[in-house]
Amino acid sequence: MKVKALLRTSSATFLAAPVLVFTCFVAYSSGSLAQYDNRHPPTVSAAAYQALVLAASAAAGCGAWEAGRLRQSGIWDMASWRSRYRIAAQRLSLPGALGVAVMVVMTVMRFVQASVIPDAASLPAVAIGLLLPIPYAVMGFAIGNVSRSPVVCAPLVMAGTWFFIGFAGNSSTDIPGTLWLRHATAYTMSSPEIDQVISPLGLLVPVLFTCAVAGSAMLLWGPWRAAVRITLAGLVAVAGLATSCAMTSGWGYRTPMITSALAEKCSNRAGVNVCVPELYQDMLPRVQKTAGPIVEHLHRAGVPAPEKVTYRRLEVAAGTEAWHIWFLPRTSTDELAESVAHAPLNDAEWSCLGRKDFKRADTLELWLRSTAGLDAGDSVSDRETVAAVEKVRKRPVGEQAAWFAEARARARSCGKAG
Amino acid sequence: MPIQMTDCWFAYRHKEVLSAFNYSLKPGSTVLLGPNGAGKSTLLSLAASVRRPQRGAISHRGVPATSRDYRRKVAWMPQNITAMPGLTAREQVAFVGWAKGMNRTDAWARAAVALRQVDLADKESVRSKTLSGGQLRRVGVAQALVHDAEVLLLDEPTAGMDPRQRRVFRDVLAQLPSDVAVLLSTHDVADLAEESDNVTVLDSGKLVYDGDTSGFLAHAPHDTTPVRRAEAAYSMLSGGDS
Repeated sequence: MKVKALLRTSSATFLAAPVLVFTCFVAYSSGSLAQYDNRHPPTVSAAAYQALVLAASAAAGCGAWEAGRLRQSGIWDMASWRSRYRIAAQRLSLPGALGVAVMVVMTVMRFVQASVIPDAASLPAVAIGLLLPIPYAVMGFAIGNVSRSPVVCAPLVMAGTWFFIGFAGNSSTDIPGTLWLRHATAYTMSSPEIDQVISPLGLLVPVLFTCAVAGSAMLLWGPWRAAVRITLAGLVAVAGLATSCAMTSGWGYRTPMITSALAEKCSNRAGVNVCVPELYQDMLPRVQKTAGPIVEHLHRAGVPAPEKVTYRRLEVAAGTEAWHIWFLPRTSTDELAESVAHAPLNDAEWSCLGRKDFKRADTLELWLRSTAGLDAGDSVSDRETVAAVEKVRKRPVGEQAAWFAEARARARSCGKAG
Repeated sequence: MPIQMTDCWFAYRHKEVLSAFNYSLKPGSTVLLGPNGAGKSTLLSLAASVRRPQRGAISHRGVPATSRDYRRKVAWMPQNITAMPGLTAREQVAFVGWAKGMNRTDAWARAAVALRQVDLADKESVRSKTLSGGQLRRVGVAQALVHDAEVLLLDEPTAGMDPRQRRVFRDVLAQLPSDVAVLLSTHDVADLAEESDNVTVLDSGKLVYDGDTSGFLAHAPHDTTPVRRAEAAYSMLSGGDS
């Protein structure tokens, strides 16, 4: 079929404009920029997987439509010289291309929004993301091939794919035994931190899963006898699903990552030693300027000064008293200051103390903020806590130091125990 | 022989259609006659390799029907010609040509020739969905002609055609190269049987007659008028059911 005729008759052509406009709308309006605004290309490429549900649904729906139209045209009864797969591939080229186009648009928009240029480390995730809608087009085609009416089947396949991927991404964590589907569909690909890339296995599993299902579907409409087709299709499906399920056992909620050491850049100025990842070295003066006074204020109130203030992902030598802070390039100075004021305790300690003794955690946090010179902000502390903090702050420095030391010791023992 | 069927068995789920069936399609044109349910369409679809016999073998000049080469050499026009959604008549014919193994350029060029042969040149840019039933059947004939097959298998090609269109169809058959074998089923006994080289009559999956046209016509009673000879011969062979 000539390309012009293919374009004119394909459902993907009619669906392309609304789907791509919707993709742009989703890219523009959805998701927090903070999720991928870390200048780390692999994080940005993972963020583009948000469009997978749309790309796969569009590709599967169009695939089902094309199968139904081909079936209605009687081409399967024409004793073709070309294989069924070749004829199907021709009709599936545009639905597949539509799915790929959705992923391309989302990927490009994410990189533009984050003002980041893709690097070699981000390309595998980009490539897999572009590939994944194609098996869904094949699955849609297989379903459309056995349905009576494309008018009924195609929208159902589209909605079903949307529901399946959405379910796998968002609900599988609540239902025991279904967590592997989250990894198998790749819709909720976790965001790599700046020292991470998605592991090859994390990318391989969704390919294995979708290709096994699509391959199985393809075998079902092969030219062999029914018994052979069903046996082969069943074997491929079971092998693919079982392998992907086995590979993801023990993975937990997050996509597995490969973590590498981060190079750091430290300030050489007198006072608090501040270190940031090389990727954020342009932020070092601002971090230094923000962290310095806060550390000083807290130290004057009896909080032991850290040997260094460092980015949370940076390794710190054993035995070093360091405060870990977290920020992104667009993090405001106020948020940065809050992170520093929060840093005398690490995440595990805060989390454990909050669980075991919320009142103390709340009091300690408010004390740190107010001692650091930060306003209460969106603090939800009740009057009793505010009064308790005021009372502590009126004590002599030595007593305040003892109070803080006791609170921190309790948090540390809790963190170690829990 | 253009097509050789040896000891073929074929049954639908609950009904045996052909059993231990042997048949050789002869060169030239052959008209396949038989009452409804005699197995004509099944025989044609088996010969076209759309269906496979549960037992037995089918081949064309030694090429088995299970091979792709067979499908390239055998053209097939099914009983129901469907308009391919969105395609023009020429695009539909070219698509079938491509599916039958031609490259896109050749299929496109040959589609125009095939449509001219069936007197549909003026409709080549018309969406096939808008064509009348008779025009669509001519598109079906063009689909069978497009890839220069060595054997044409046509299932009721003239059904729904008006007399003028039937004349065009007969002209098309007459202009085919002499080495092309044609097997066509029809209920228009009088219309086609007398102009064909051979006649095959099928009844309940059995060959009732398979030979040249003069032998077939000889079955007509002597007092039959020339115009009704074919019909009379067919009635004699098939027991009067048409």
